Amino acid sequence: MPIEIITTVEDRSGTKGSTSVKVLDTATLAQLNAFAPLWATALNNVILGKITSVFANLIGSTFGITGNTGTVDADVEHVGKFQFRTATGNRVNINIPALDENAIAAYSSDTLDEAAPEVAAFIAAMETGVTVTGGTISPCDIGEQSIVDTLFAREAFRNSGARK
Amino acid sequence: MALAIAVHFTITDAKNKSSTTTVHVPTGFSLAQYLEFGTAMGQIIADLSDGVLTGISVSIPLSLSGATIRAVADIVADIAKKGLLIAGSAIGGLFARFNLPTYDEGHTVANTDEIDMADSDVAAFVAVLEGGAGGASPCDLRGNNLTDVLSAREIFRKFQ
Repeated sequence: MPIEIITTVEDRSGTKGSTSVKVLDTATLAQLNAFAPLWATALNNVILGKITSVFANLIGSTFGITGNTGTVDADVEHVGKFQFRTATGNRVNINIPALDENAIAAYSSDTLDEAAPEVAAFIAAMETGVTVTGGTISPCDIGEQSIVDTLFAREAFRNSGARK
Repeated sequence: MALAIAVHFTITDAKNKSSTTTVHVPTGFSLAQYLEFGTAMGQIIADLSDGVLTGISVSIPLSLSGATIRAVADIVADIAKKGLLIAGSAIGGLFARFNLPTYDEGHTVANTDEIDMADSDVAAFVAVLEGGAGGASPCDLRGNNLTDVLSAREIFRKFQ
């Protein structure tokens, strides 16, 4: 599947728009990083706006994921709310939509059972990383500071907002 | 400071509502490794959710440090003013469309809405679309190389 390169442009009023170009998925990350400034320079010269960012977007595969079937009471507004801490003390919040009720310690509590296999596996992946071919990728904050521990894990509900 | 790479996971519930959660990961890995991480973490998230994992995507910020781009939008730059280019694909009948926000009308043929393909800036942009740059080659939605730009004109979008 092609890689989508999304370029965001801002006009004088601060309004943003974007344009995208797809490139062959044979490109490496180094080639994408070489493409971006050449693309941005060529685009800059035919527009009047300010280019604020260029992102590459890749579509992953859910092929091979097991047990990926929803339950009738699944609701994305019911979330598992996790807060992690990085080595430099930054907080990282992650919500898991349509939380599996089996992850909750007891019905008298909104704390997730960190000993439950599903919860323990997620926390382990966030704190120590996921093994991939040739290495381990460890989650981090936006500034690339590694996550080192979990501050809390509990269930929460989001506001449904106005219905259409 | 480099910006971390974002891996997005989309969950859909029994009412067909979707929600996305994001996990950031560091730079320094290959595209294949990020995709492998996405699938592995997707399994872990799917195990923790009653919904269906319907999408995984990886969003990578690309460096513009080598680009020559303006620091401030021109006084008349407007998102609603666009250049529309249509490029043909190596497979007959397929094509790709490009909308260029804040298109500069200075590249338009006088008294027409046609973008001037002989203009040097337009020609340079078209060269990137047709021939690629930096080792990456633009393509259509199905992954076929683009061959040539078939049409190019200025358009305006409704904007309130």
